Amino acid sequence: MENITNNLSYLIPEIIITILGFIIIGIGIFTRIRNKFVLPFVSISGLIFTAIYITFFFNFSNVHILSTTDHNQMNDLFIYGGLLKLDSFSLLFKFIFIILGIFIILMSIDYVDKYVNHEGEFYGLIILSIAGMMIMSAANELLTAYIGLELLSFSLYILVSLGNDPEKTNESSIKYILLGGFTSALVLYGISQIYTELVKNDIVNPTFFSSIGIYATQYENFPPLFIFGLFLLITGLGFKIAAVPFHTWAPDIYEGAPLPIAGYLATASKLAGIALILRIFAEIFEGSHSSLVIIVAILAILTMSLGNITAIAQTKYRRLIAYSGISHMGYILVGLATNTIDSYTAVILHSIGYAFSGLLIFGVLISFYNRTNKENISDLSGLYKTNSFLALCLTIALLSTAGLPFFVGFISKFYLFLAAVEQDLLWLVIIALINSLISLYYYLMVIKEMYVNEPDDIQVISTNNIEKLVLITSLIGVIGLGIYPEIIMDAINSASVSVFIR
Amino acid sequence: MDSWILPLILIVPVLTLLAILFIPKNNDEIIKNITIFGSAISGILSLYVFMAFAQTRDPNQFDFSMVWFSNLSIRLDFGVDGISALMVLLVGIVYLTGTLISCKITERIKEFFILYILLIIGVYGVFISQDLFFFFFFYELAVVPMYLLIAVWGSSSDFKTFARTKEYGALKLMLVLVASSVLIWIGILSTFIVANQNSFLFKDLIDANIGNDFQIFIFPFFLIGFGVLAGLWPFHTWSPDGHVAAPTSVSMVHAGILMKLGAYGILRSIEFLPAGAQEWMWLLLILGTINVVYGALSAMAQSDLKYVIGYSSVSHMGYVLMGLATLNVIGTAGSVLQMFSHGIMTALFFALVGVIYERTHSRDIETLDGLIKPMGIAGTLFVIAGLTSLGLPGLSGFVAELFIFIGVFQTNPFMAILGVIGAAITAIYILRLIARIFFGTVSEKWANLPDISRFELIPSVILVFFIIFMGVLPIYFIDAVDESVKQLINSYLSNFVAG
Repeated sequence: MENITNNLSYLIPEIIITILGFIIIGIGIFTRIRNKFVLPFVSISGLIFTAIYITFFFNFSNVHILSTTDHNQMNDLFIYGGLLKLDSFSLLFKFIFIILGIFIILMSIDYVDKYVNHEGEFYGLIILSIAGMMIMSAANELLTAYIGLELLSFSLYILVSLGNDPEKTNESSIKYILLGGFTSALVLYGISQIYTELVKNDIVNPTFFSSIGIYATQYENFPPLFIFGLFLLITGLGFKIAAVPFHTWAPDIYEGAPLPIAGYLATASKLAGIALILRIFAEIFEGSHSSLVIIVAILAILTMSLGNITAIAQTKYRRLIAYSGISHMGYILVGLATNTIDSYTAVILHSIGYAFSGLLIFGVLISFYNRTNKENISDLSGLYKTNSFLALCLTIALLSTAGLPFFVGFISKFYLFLAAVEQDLLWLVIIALINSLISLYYYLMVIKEMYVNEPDDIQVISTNNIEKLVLITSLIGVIGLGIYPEIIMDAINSASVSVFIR
Repeated sequence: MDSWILPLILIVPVLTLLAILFIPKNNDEIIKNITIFGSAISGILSLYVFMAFAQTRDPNQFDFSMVWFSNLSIRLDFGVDGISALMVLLVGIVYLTGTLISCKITERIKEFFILYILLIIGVYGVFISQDLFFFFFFYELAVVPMYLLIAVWGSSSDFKTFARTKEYGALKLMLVLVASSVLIWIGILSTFIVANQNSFLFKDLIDANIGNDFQIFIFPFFLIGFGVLAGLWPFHTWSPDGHVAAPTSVSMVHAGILMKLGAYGILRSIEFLPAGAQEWMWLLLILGTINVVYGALSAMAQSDLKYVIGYSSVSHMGYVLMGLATLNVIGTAGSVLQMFSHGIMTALFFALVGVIYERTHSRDIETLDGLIKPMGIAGTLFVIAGLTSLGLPGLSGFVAELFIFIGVFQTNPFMAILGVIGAAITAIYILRLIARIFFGTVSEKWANLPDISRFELIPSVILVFFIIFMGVLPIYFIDAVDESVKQLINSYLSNFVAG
């Protein structure tokens, strides 16, 4: 009993956030607050408090600096008998999830006011899903990870359907629930296969990630059932990050879901998937199973190429962003196929950069959609004339995702590809580079639409201060990390050390 | 103090850019004045760097170094040798004159200058970086703004048989250049891994003594990758199309500086991949010669003034490439001088084409006639540029081309003869061009055109000053460049003595 209460103190961030989520839902249901700022304000103050708590009480930056020099000094905390692992990796990701949540809530204020009926549920479920992601990033065991995954997914199922235009949201939310439910059943089945195989071989704690690692080092050739289980697990995670061939939901859901939720799916939810994948892959790849490298590399090629080539043909910006997001997961998979500590660091840096530019893109699109209610790329024409700040932000975000210098996308891609070349994956990098070129083409088409073409109507689009705050902050993130990435490298380095070196 | 000069060269444009960014729109005059002021400071700094270097010839005097990304030990490392000092001067000159010329722009001037300065920051950065990563960082940075600069402020043209929209020119330029940088990506990534020095610094890569087989494998990636930006045949077509679509000052920077980045990149890669360079230089020599002859012949066939100058740039960049391909001191020195000379000359050309076009709204050499009468000063300046282009002694082009031809004669007389033939063709099309548009009967249409205005005259005079200065006193430039070139070639040769 003492153990439980002792450990509980390490879960304070999750507990605060869960309680906060319920409070927000409660306020939404039981009171009739007409002011659109109250709920977001309460949510954000709670989240900021948690972020500060994580920064100072866990003091993770200190843990990091120590850990990069000497891994043994790292204060990894295993709580509840090792179900959860509080290391610099999980703390970094928890921090990022909270920040992303804050940004998404800030972006949503006007949108929710206009297009969403259930305010309390909207903000409350975002906060609950953050708790789910935090558990995912800390999970050290398959079932705990699954619980986090489900908490995230269930919140998202509801969030996707929360728009007040049933014609639009119904299709996508039903599609998401059916596909998501089906995949999580597969994941559970996969876990059971892995479990069976590990129990058969008398490995203690058969659901722990580290046990998979132990198993993987012991056996050169995996039995079919284990491979099947792994395959199902990868399917589930691939679904979460929308990697080809588990990607088909993404464009449809992005199109039908409330726009901030699409942004949330594109940034936070994908990052959570990446965090979990990094944890699991670091263990599975423990033994040198080159066939797995090939499989991941093939997935990477498919994901990059299909995402990029399909994106060219899109006429709606939500679908374009969805496909470009898919192609980005391809680059992440390149990093996973590389499987060195450098590539893990690069993957974390790249996904943080991706999240920032994703926030920037969705910040612009939400502001645009709130004012104009238009969804086509061609509707962005002349955005430069109607609001030059929005056009500038979108341009910078797109150029960063295309991997051009001055923005974080350049250094993170450079690092990622360098790590891959170091492992003799030059052929994979060449394909990735060609894909970057393709992506630049359709980004340029959007940029051209905004700057070269004339607007349909010259009505000026205004932005309010909250939108400006969100955009400028993410702009600082994208440019600041591009100009001097060293500022966050300490945190990222120790995160990748703690996840990669066991 | 001196170690801050090179960062300052980047910081001044950045500050100018930020200043413009925070000035509200519609303050066109203030924005113009700030940009002119900023570019003047940059110009003076560049001149200072070159003169200080020419005096001491100490390649370490401006060194600046700081860690930028410790995971890959990327350093922000600035420094100049004679070659890059001359290039910095070139950037300074073209930046200042281009800014003055751009003051004619009336539409979206704020955004224009922001992108224009971004382009300049990239170009400056390439020439002062001593670290392969940053070299590439700034290289890519210089390419990015070109798209919008051309697509927004450029002009579409309609010819008798075909049309070229500005979007077409911009997209072609951007995609070709980024595709070529894919090759450079591959080159840099694999060179870093193979060199195994855990450093991107040029000097560390030179010391790494990379294996010959790998050098021979990887050098073509750098050669073609950078070559595309230098207008290497057969990948040159983006360049004339880009010129025609671009606004005047962007054409000036594009032909004057941007294409030099490619040649400069090849020059730097010779340093750390000597064996690869030795193996592949025949290719560069042949392609460079084709550039000269083919570019000149293409220029002869054009009827659009900007296409003529665009193809003549391709032809002149051919001399630069030929000079590099000699891998001897005199040829390489010639090619460095040619980079500078051509940069100044072509900037002057494009400035004057802009002047003519603004007054006549035509670039068709069939319709332009007798312009020397109404536009005496502009015509004179154009003739000076033309004579530089065909290599008249006493003007900058002569020394440079002479050196290159001597260098090429030492290695491959046949190609040198072809090169000289190219120069002869240049003389034909330039003289014919001048004769057609400036002399002959004045048609009624053009009789009352105003001559060059003050804002156009000042930059043109600056450019002409450097053309004549270099033509009359080439020794000043040769001395500055000579030592660095010798060092480069010696380190190239020593590689084979030791090996």
